[in-house]
Amino acid sequence: MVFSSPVFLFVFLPLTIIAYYIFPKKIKNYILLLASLFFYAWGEPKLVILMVISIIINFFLAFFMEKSEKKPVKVFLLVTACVTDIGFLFYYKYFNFFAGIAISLFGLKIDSPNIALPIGISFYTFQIMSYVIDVYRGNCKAQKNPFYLGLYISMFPQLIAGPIVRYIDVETQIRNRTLSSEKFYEGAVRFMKGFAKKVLIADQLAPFVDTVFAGSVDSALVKWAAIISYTLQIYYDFSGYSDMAIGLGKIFGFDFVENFNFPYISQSVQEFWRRWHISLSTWFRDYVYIPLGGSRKGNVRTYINLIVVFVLTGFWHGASWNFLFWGIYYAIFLVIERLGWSKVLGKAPRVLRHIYLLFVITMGWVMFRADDMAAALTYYKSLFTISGNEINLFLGNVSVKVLFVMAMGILYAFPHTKLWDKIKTVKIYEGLRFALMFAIFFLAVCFMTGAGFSPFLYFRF
Amino acid sequence: MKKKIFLNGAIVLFMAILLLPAVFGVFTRLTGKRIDEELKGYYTVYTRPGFSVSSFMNSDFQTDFSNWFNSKFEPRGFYIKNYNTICFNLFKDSIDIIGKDNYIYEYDYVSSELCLDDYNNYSIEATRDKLDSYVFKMQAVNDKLKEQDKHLFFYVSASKADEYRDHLPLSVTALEPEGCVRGVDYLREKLEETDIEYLFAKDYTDDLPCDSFYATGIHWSRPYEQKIDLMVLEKVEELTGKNYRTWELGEIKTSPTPYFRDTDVYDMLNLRNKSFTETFYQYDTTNVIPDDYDPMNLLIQGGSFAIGLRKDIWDHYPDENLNYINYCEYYMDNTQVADPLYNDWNNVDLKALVEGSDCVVIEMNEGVIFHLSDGFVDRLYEILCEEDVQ
Repeated sequence: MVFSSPVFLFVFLPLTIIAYYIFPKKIKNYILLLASLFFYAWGEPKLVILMVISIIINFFLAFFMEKSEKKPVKVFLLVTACVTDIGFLFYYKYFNFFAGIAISLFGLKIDSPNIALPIGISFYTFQIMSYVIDVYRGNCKAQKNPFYLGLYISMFPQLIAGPIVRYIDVETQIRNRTLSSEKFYEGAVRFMKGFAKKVLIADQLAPFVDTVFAGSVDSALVKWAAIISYTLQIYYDFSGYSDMAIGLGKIFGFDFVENFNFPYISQSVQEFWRRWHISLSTWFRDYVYIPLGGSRKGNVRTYINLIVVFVLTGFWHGASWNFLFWGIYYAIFLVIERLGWSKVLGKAPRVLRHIYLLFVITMGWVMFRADDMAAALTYYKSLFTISGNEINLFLGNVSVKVLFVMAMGILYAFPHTKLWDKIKTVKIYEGLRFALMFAIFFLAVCFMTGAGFSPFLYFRF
Repeated sequence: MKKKIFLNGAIVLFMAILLLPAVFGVFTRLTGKRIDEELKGYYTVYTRPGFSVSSFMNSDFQTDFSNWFNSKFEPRGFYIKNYNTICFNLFKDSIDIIGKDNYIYEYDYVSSELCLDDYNNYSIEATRDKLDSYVFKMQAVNDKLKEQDKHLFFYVSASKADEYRDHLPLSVTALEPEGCVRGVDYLREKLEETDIEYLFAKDYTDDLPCDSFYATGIHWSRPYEQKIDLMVLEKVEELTGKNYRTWELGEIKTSPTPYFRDTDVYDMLNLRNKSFTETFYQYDTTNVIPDDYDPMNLLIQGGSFAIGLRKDIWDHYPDENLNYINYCEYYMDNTQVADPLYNDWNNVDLKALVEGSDCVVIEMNEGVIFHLSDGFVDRLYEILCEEDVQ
């Protein structure tokens, strides 16, 4: 069940909100847990069991880890938890990939197993791992109520597309949180904003991007338009989802971490990764990069650590070579920037730094979006191969609607802080803000419903 | 206090949008009246699925419920009309192609006019081969029918994209490949090599009292349709030597409201605003009944343009014996009940229908030449020619 679907918006969400607010405080967590499990089971009716098993295993391992006073036992329990969690993730997400490699390397004549990827497994595995690691480190106490731990892992707002919420950030909120009109209101506004980003920008660009990446158009101009569109699409899709998750969290009384902070205004790759998918970057920083030594063990070790982190980051996004290379690509730029390129950049005019970053990001998305590395390489080539019919192909493939949405996407990717500061001084600012957001949300609801409605002139038998 | 009222009001508004379908749904259940705007056109209607553990576990329930809910919730029509109206007015974006002066085109017609797909580009050998084979078989069928004192008449109905090519938007004309050879041109070239009796409707747009196509319709205007339908009947009369009951075209009537299919493609857009200011036309007709008329025994196969011929005949003489086959979608006789064929010619006894007919009339539109009559000619060839050889 995706957030931008009528079943979620008009059935699941209002029913859950009403049930949540009707029942007394003591029961609210259980209502939310039940709703979250149902939400997950809607998409994964069988594999919901996997998530429940994972929760139970980690609950007990963390519970005994805290009880135990012997370090080797604690370490053993932590390793068991990590091996179990990564084992599940490996089996469901990466087994096919590695089996494929083994088959091709050793010339095995067996069929690659067909294992379906459970929705959101990467997100909830990282959440559950952060919990056991933090319990091991003593950063938080083990949860005594398995249902509360279940709620932390399965909470539907962030279950499928993040942000990756850390247990230490919501530990106290699970036990005790306040509900208020202010929070509900802020949550509703944030949800509407995210919904509009997803439906009015990301979803409007998706068909154009899909068509061009399918390879049917042979024009550099169109390919550039498509990769710029995809740059916007993925940002508005992902950050829209995060906004919706944060908004829904607020409606239910939670404060989730921010996940995006205008990443495309960055002026270096380092800065970009501090603004893009923040919850993932900080997860890798705290649980991989720093334990590996971070930047404290000399330059060479720092570069190796960066490469390890970004190989894992790429791989986290998907089990295929292009994601792996996408991660390595960023690692290379981060290393180059640390080698001195950032100093050179620092002296360059702001606009050049910005162009550099956007170029790197956009080229990176080619790898991310293409079906495989061969397709990505073909796409790179076509970006720089001018055909004889560029203008016509551009006019024929890039619609006014796509251009308009792209313009809106670019405009809204900047914070416009000064302008907003001015607008905020207007007396009726809050009323205007809500009215505008509500109107945009209404528009997005129309677009969600209307897109894809394509009646026939005649009855089809 | 003011702030609290504002916050609560905003929350109520937010929840109202989420709860609107539930409230309207309950109202409809209680009163039987839908609070929604009606949508034009045919679309898939889903039934509410029954819940079972097994259907839930294999995700069938979720899919069926989503399909049912998405197609049923109120005020879906209101939202869809808003969406369509915004996209149409702001971006000229719709399910169809919007040209100059809001001329609306369906993709197939534009593709065939501009050779946008290989299957519509007859400069490509493989595409030509298919049409060569089609015409060859039609010639063989024509010969066989003649042997049985029966006849074949073939007519090509016109395409709006051809007639109003200058109204096509730049976004599609820019995509026309170099050296494009249109199906309609290649078909004419091939037909000229045969002795099949045929007619290209595009040759008869002179003397029409109005446009051959309106901005709002994908089918031709009524006067054009009436004129061609009558010409087809006259040709069939000539061929068969029969004396049918026909009609005469009289005075031209005008109306601000559309006749028959004058706004069909516009209606499908489900817009909120009326974007056309057309005047619609139709000839008055008078029946012509010879004393010694012959009953019609026609087998007509074609697409929606042939529905016009069927309509014109049955509007004047409902008792005439027509057997109409729409593509390979459905079969219809005088009972005027459509019998689905599900794209399988085995679902209709074509041999019997041919035997009971004086003339087989095939209608093909310029926009769907690549359909090659959906296998109708192939099937006739099998029945009349191959079985004979065996």
